Amino acid sequence: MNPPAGVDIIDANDFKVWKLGLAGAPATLYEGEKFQLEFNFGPNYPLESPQVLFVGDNVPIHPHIYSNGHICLDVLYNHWSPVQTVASICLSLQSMLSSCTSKERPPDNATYVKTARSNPKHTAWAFHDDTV
Amino acid sequence: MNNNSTARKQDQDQEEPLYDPRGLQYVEPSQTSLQCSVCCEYFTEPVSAPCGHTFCLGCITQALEVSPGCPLCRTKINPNALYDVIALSRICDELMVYCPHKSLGCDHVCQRVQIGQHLKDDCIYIGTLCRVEECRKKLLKKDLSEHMESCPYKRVDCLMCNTKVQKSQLQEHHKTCPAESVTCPHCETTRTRLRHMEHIQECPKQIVPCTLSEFGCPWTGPRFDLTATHIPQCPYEAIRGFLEQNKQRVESLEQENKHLRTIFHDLRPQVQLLRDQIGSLSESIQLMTGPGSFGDSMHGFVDTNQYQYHSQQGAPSRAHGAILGYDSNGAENELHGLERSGSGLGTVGDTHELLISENERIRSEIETLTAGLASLELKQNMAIMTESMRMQEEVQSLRAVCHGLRMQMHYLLLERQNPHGPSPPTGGGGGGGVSNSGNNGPGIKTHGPGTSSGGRPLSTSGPPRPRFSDGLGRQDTKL
Ligand SMILES: [Zn+2]
Ligand SMILES: [Zn+2]
Ligand SMILES: [Zn+2]
Ligand SMILES: [Zn+2]
Ligand SMILES: [Zn+2]
Ligand SMILES: [Zn+2]
Ligand SMILES: [Zn+2]
Repeated sequence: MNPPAGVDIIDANDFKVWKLGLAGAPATLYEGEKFQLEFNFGPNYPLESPQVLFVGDNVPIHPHIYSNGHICLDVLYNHWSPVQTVASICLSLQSMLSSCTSKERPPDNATYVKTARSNPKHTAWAFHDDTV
Repeated sequence: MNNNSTARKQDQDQEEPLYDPRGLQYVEPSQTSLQCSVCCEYFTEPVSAPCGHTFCLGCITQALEVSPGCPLCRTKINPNALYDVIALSRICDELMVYCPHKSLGCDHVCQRVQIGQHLKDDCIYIGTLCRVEECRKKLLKKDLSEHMESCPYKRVDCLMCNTKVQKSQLQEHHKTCPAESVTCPHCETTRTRLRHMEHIQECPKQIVPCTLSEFGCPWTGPRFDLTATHIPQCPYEAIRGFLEQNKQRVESLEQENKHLRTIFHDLRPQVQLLRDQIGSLSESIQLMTGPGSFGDSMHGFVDTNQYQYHSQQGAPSRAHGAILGYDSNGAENELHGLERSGSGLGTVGDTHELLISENERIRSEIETLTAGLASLELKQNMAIMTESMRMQEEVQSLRAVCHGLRMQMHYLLLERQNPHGPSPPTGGGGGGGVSNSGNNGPGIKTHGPGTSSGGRPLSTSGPPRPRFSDGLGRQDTKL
């Protein structure tokens, strides 16, 4: 895989867990920031989506990203399609970050982080806000 | 997603000669327009959905099981509505691929559609097994012919005897091959091993012992010397008949001994069993008889039984009282005696039966005796009681007689002190009464006239008379 611009592979030695680096795109609120993404591939990938979340010290501050790294993005859950790839997910995330207008946590961050399971796929996501 | 393909390739290496079409390495890997967007590989059996999107048949079938929409545009797809894209299929089949065994050294490149044929017929880097049943070594096809030359399990002809021998054992075979030529170590003539086996039985130069060496002849020498010179002068030869007879006897005795030993071994547990039973029988008898004189008398009684039993068995006067259990060693000896008597006694089982019935008889006899003794005791008690009653009564009557005599004496004394009383008629009457008793009567009668006592107690002496005679009358009826 040739990683798209702003994405570099940190660790992709097996087909179970990948770690990627994601750089904030120029001319956005996240310019110059570096984030880490973790992909967990289940046995049914690509028929089923991988588990994707931000890890490490720097979790982007974004209305759709919780402080525990969980990402509210429909293609990762019920809008997954087997044609999605790691590259296409990275692109979706970059566009999500780029279109952000104010760096803030989701309004329910505190309660969600307290109650959420570690696997974001176990959360019942409600994708009300498609604009951001 | 090239990672996908490498993972699948690893699987495929293990299941030869099949191959995974999706694990193939293409000469030109990146014509994305010919690749399925689910598996990111060149299409395998491409099919199109009504929405116009194309996937591998396998990919879209699996994807529809998870979610019913087109993976690209999410239009609902009926699996029956998928149709083959024949032209695309042909284009993909004509793509050039490397042989899956490229890593092992096969540099074959051909159209994808032909790779199966290559693997089946041409590829020499495919895994296979040695043809020899005992070997079945795993190796690459290219190494097979070389291995077959040197396979240790391969069979080769023995050039001398024309039998097939495993290559690894040929060296060993030559040591025993019947066609190998062998030189006799005694006479140094040469022949095949097969013939040598016969020859060695009669080689004239072989050193052999005397035919009677088993009886002690120390002679050894070449075979031709044995018959020619030794046998005519062998000292053992003279008594050969005796020696052989003796040998036969020893052998038959040995055999008999062995036979007897097995019988002995068979009998041993039975004897043990019987011994135990006798032990328990002895105990129960001891309990029944108990200690004391009664037991002793029973002992004597049983002895006679014992004697009878022995004479039946033809082994008299052994172990008196053994069955009663007063001497358990005796019982054991008894048993050994029976055992030793062997065939004459019949089987041990019979003996056992006999012992049990004997015991049963003794028990019943003891019971009868106990009952008899009890009734005897009762009778004796009765007799003693009757006797003592009689004695008591006799004592009583004697006491009455004594009393009567005393009274008479008293009367006589009174009469002597008072001679003028009118007592004589009364005294005579009294004397007559006394004479009736038969014992003291005459003595008193003679005294009566001679010694007259006072008549004063006449009134008192009157009453004793009827009482006295009354007592005598009672005594008569009692006796
Ligand atoms: Zn496919
Ligand atoms: Zn479609
Ligand atoms: Zn090949
Ligand atoms: Zn072999
Ligand atoms: Zn041979
Ligand atoms: Zn010889
Ligand atoms: Zn001799």
